[in-house]
Amino acid sequence: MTMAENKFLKEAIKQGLRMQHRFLAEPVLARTGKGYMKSEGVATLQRIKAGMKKSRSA
Amino acid sequence: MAGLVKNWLQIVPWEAVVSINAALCEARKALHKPTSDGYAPAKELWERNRSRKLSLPEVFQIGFQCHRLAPFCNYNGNTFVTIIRTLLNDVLKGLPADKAHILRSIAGHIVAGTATDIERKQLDSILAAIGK
Repeated sequence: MTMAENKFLKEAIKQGLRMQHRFLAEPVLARTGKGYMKSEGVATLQRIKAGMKKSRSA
Repeated sequence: MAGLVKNWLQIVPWEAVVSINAALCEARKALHKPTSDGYAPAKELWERNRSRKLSLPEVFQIGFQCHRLAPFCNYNGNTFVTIIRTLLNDVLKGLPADKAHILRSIAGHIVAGTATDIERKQLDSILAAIGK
C-alpha cells in the first residue's frame, strides 16, 4: 500500500472504532433489507451550532 | 465544484477494506471472515469502481451496495460507513461545521441503509450549495 493509502487506513480505523457502538455486528441489512445505525442524537449538532453562534458574537 | 467528481475510491484498495473490517471485528472479539456469497461480488464492485471518476451520491451508493452484499461475517455496516465518512474529510474541511456534520451524518445513514427521504433531499441541497 502507498503512504496515502496507509494514512487513510489508519484514519478510517480510528473513526470506525470511535463509532462502533452505533452498529450491530451481524449483517442486518443483507438479511432484512433494512439497515441499522444507532442515532447519535442532536446533542453534537447543538454543540456545534452553539459554538458557531458564540464565535460569531465574540 | 469539480473536486466533487473524482476517483474517490482510488485511495482505498480492497485490502484496506479487509483490514478495516479486521480491526473493527478484533476490537469487539467478533469473527472476521469473508462470506461465501457476498465477498467476491462486493470485491468486484469495489475494484471496478476504484478507477472510475464518481460523484458523491455514486460513492454513497457503492458503499451502500457493498454493505448490502455483506462481504464479511460481521460489522459490514461500520466498515463501509466509516470508509465513506473518512473519504469525505477533505470536502468537509471547506464547509461550515454544522453543514459538515449534517453531510457526514447523511452519508453514513445512506450507506447504513437508514436514510430518510428528508435526509436525501437535504443532501441534494447541500451538494448543490457546495457546487456553487
